[in-house]
Amino acid sequence: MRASRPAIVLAGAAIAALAFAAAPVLGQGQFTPTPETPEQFPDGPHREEAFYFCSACHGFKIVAAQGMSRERWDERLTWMTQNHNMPKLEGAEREKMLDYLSTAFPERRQPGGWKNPFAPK
Amino acid sequence: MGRKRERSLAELYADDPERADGVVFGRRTGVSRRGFLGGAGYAAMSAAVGGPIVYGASMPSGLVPAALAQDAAKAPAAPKGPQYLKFPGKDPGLVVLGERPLVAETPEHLLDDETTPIAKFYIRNNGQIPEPVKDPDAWKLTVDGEVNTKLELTLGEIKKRFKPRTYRMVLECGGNGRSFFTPQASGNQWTNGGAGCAEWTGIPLSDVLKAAGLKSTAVYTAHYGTDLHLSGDATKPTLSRGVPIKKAMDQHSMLVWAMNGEPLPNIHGGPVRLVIPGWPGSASHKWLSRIWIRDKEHDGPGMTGTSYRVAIKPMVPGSKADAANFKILESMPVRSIITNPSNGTKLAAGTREVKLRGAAWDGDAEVRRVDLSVDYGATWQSATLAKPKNRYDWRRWTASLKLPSDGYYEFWARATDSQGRMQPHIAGNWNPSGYGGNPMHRIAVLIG
Repeated sequence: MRASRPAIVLAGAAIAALAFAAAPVLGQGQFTPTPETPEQFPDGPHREEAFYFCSACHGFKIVAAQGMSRERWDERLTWMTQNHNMPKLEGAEREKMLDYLSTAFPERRQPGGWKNPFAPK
Repeated sequence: MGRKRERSLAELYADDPERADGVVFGRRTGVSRRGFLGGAGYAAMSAAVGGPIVYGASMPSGLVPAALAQDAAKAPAAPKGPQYLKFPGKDPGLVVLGERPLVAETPEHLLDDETTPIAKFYIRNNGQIPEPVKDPDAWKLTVDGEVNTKLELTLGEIKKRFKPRTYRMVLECGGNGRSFFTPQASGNQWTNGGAGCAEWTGIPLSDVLKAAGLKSTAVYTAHYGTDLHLSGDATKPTLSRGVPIKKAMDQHSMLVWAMNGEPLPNIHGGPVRLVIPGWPGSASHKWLSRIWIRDKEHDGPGMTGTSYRVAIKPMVPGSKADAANFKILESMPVRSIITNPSNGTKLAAGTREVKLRGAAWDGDAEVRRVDLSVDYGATWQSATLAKPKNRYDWRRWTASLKLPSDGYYEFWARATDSQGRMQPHIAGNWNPSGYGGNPMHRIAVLIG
């Protein structure tokens, strides 16, 4: 079952929609990123929280391209705060984030860079 | 760092609705420090929409912005396989690694030109892409810090005052090859396509540094550009890296305003950027606005921790990094690629000889040789190397490989540099952000 979205999120989003639904995404020059939604990414508790939190600044595709242990995800969150203006995540909020990230995108021990084009489907 | 910006909701959404949604959400979870809603919060927002809003199903779709509306109706399937770039003037074969920031790599088989066309040149951004400027010659560059005379020059003045030159040189992302690490390293998952070799026209950076007059206290450069940080915080540099003075004074370290004879495109950092060849591309700052000469190693964003750094004492792959065990990645490692045929090529039954083309390059050292294997490295034969045009050019190579039968083959390419260092079978010296991965290039070919 999909995680429920808290009411307040929709309230905030609704304000956005009422006022600025047609506003273009600025700041990418000649490029408009493809819209992303949480449902494009692996299901699991706290997916929505993780999606909207991370995609406030950057695409979620780059998150989904990662595969790390919980410890390394934790280090990455710290790095994001120290280096990239990410609001500090602490306590239960941080645990929720780590729950989703480390479950949806766990450590990968297969090199991702080379795929056999003839591999049996 | 860390100055809080008080911004109105309207301003935030006008800037970037997607980001604003995230910030709104972030606020809900109590983790945003941006604070634009002040103390109003939930009660005020509920009032604004006429009462408390409960879960998705009953939410009138007109009130939900596009990103949320899609999930209620029909969410597009998760992207499978490579996502190809759609960008004006760019080859649609480039593979998108991320869209915000925009990052796209050039698959090896598209690096088959002697000089990489602009259309096929990889894209790496750390921040938001600035709008193209209308008058490139009015672009201002400041050189300050440990110099006798602070300079403020326009690009027009730079072009008049110094003698331009052109070099063909490889520009390569510091993370190129990252995807080959096991366990997976974090960051953009580059294969070998975070590299290209273009003709760069500009002047040696040293001309400008000499004009400013370096003080004896000058140790390191610090580079700044005009691209806005992804968070929208105008006070925070997106990235600011630098190089030791010795590297900056190398005649190949250039201030560049043209690429393959054309004005430097905005997406590649025009009107003016640095090209610091052989070192991670992040040192080759785009949209360059300031060079600050430091009296110590630069410590801007991208210089510290494990960013653009590699382990000194080799670490257990996947283990916790100790920042004290890291040194700056300077010269890039040797790398070769097969640019033709492409991975996944099928050839007619009975084919017993295949001609190959490729490229090889190195950081500050030079490529000495390229070898190829059709039998997983059991035997090797050498490629014929073309002469480089100048230092930091790549070396194009050709080879002809004989095959004993039909069937499945892998062609492996391995370059060796002038110091005898060759590409390893796997990405070694694991580090959490995956720098220095340069295993042999490998393609699969099916005969018959």
